[in-house]
Amino acid sequence: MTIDKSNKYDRQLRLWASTGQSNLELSHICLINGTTTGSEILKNLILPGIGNFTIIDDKEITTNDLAGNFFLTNDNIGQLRASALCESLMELNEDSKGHAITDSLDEIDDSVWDRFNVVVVSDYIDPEFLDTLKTKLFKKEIPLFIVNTVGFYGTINLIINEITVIETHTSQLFDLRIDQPWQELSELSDSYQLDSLDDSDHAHVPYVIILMQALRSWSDSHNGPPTTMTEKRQFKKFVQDQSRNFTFETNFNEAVSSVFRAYQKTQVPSMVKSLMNNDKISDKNLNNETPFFWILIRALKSFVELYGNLPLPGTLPDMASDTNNYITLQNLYRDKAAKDKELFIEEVKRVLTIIGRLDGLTALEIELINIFCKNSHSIHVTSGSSQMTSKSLLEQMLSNKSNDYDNEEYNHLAIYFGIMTFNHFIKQNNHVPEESDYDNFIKLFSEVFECHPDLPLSALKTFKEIVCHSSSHYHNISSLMGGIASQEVLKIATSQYVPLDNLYVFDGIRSQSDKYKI
Amino acid sequence: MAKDTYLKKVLGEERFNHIKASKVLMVGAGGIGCELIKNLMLTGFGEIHIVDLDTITLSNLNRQFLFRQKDINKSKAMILVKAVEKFNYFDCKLIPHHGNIMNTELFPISWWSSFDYIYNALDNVEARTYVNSIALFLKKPLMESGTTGFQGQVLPIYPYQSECFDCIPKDTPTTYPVCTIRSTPSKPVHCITWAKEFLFMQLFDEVQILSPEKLAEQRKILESETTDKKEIDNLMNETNELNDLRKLTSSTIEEFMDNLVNKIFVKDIEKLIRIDSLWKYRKQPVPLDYATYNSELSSMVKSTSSDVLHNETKVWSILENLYVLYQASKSLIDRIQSGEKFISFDKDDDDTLNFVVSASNLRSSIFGIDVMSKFDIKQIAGNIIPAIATTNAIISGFSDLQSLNYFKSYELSNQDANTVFVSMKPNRFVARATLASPNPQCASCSLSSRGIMSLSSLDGTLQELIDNIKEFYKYEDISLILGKNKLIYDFDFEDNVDRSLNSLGFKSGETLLVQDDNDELENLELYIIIGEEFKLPELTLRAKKVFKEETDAEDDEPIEEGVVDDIIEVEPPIKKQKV
Repeated sequence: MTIDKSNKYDRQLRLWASTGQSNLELSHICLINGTTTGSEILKNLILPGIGNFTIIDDKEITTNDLAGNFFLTNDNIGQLRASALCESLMELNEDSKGHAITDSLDEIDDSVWDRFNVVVVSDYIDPEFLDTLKTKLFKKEIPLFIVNTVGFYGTINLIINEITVIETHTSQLFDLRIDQPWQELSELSDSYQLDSLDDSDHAHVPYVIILMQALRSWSDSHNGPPTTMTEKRQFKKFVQDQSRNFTFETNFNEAVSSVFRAYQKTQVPSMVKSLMNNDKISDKNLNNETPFFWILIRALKSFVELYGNLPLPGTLPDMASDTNNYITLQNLYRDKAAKDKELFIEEVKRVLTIIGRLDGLTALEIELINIFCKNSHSIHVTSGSSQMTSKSLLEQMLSNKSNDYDNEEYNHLAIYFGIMTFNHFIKQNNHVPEESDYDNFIKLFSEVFECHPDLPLSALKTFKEIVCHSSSHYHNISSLMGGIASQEVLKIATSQYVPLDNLYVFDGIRSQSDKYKI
Repeated sequence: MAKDTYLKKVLGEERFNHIKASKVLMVGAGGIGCELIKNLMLTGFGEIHIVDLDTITLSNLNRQFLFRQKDINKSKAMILVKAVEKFNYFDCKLIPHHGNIMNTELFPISWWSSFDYIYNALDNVEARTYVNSIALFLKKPLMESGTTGFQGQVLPIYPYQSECFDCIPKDTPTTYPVCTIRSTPSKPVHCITWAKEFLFMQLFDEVQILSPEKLAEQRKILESETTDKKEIDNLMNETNELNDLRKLTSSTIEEFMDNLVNKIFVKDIEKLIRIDSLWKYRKQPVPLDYATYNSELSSMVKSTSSDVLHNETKVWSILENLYVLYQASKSLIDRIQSGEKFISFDKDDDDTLNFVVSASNLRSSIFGIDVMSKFDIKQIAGNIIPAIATTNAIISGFSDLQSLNYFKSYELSNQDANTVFVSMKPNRFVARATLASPNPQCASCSLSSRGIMSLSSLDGTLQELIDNIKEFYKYEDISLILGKNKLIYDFDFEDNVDRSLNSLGFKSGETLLVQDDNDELENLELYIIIGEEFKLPELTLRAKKVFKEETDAEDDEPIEEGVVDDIIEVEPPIKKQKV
């Protein structure tokens, strides 16, 4: 990365590092409809430096578009929205390249979609076309975001069949193996004779060693490590009692406050276990089309079978100790991590041989393996859905089982169903619903979702709100929903963090939101 | 259809008109400010003032969407207003101010009182506390907001009705014992602190020549940390010697470099080693073998093609660190010699950053501590808080949204606004909480009242003022503190009573704290202005609250994770205005 870029992007590189940044720079996002929310989404992605963006929109700019959109001016009235917006947004960052497609959606060639890593639909498009697009992109494994705003309400769907994430940034646990020290660590621990140390040395023994010794002697006299709450409490006391002067020995204080690290069981997390049993990596399904992520999972499976544990990440928390003791300990963790990585690479190579790839690993793949070994305990895979609704979701809305924080009558799912009905209404009537359309609106809802029009009061209230406001031009909500939606796109584009799974509903009247899985 | 049709529909005609007639202030034109100004304008406010003391830097451009590369080094407030003018659909009157919000001459209380609402879009605690105190003086509604990485919060503040900024305790920044920093570092951060706060400061920044009293004070601090007299003497001498080194900034780079390295990485370390007591339980440092690098370093300096400086994520070797130290020192003494009186550390000033990175790495290697990349050291030395456009967009959306309630009734009480938290936690993107009542122990809003005192002249005596205050508020006996901490009067310190207010330092924009020496009434803080007549604010002072020492409060109930903690963005160093 050039010096200018690393300076310009400094504040975000501290979140997703250069790996995330280069993924972002290789991404191409497509926006359907140059709405205010859509412009906000693009703005938030262009600023951090997304590689390419394309706006698909065949409409002309009217005064309505100016009401909430910062990227259009009076001079743009009458021009094509896609081109004008594209030009205006390109000014934000010379590193991002913009493209405009001014054809109508049904004229767009199928192959065009293959250019994109992410497609975002903002506000109204023909519901039938949305259905086709959904199916198409789902098959192509291109993530599709559907973002809607009406009045103070907003919703986001993420339609995708599978998302695999290595760097989830979720785990703050350190893998210290206090319960299962490997040989070198065990030997180091044994080399400390706590009783024979003088007071100063005693106060400088790193707490990992203290806990390891305490855990062993406890297990010897109690038939195993502490498991119940009472035992854990006793164990804590046991650790504290070994201090010569608990007020002054910082290391023992740390040992007591980190005592949970001694109970932390070294094992393969269930999420990772289930991935290792995924059918994708069975012998019959593994082939040279298998994505690299799944090859790593297959290698991880063999690694665990051979060595019993996941590769050691090798990071050690800060702890009171003198420099010497700490560095010895740190090196031990690092060396083991490096060794584990080498062994893991052997397994990867073996899998590659099986599938007939003999060209060796690329530098990029080695870098990925580095990251994988550091994060193998928190990798994440989501299986999504191609549907926007389900029977149970509808039932949940109708029975108003949403969380009732303030004993107020409100219904988050009604926002979602209301907004979908809103779009169907436009299709049917060629205009947005007004207050006077309230009855028709409810009728249309029951037709579209094939249910009885006898709705709970909370839903009726929400629908009323929707037809009263009936505008997707309130800038605040666009800014907010644009922020949230682009945050989600960033996760996909950087291949980091756990993305939305898979429906998000925002209620700006109460500043409240909920998440649902379809 | 008119452009504001939708707005009227969403806000309601009445509120829309209120907003149109309102004048609001936005403090800060950075990450949140850029987003917020857009929201405020499109919400239809009639007049918006924007204040920021900062200028635009390259690292702003990844999120502050109103600024471009060509705007670098220009005033944020000015450029922001220029950038939004062409989108000013609702004819909002926009007034930028390039200046420090805490400057009472630029921004007197009369100016503050002209606003209907204050929006904070700040990045440091000091300015936040100041604006909060003004809001309390004037009983103005204030919207506080902050982000760090993927997290953010907005907090509406209705003075004396809801929690104020000072009601929430702040984390105090970590400090390290002087001895750890200067003699026995064991972590990278110790070496970074040493390079930035001690070495760099002594060599290039504005330092006061220490008076004998100050020196004695320093010695006292050291004596409180260690009983080792040898170590203390050594530390005291080092400071003097660095003063000599500072004079070398007027010599050639070769001379400067040789002297610097030989002193701080060789001789000083050798001296430290001779203090045996330090190394009884620690590993001894190993002085830098400067001679072995000399020839390689000079050939590296001669070849112009080295790109070490551009590799910020790589961990540099000793030689590379020496090279960076050389290049950074060269630029710095060039700048001193071409007229800069002193240079302060600034994470965005690459010369200063390179100096600190290389010096701290060299020290780390001497002490057997891990050497770090420039990228990582920058984060620690510069207190860098990650920041992205997305979170700022969300938070400024909430900032505007949560303030709308106020423009319906213009009342401080009975506000149903919420504080809102945003995070990346799965299942909890957005969480809200009802506003809390003021913290009963908050010194700013619960334990004192505030108001504006108008003085007709500064010629009167302190005694006259004391009599007036005592009579007006029915105090028995009081003590007076002017400004931050200048005690000017109490029951056994009456030396000043006959002096004129002017001579004591009273002036417009200063504050006067009145305390009841009989502990019956609460504290009173008065903001001084010069007006046509003498006038004290009409306030009914509350009885002084007494709190019992709390003994068992600590492990009472666990705080629900993520609800009330650590959200406001903190950038500790005090900002200096750039011109």
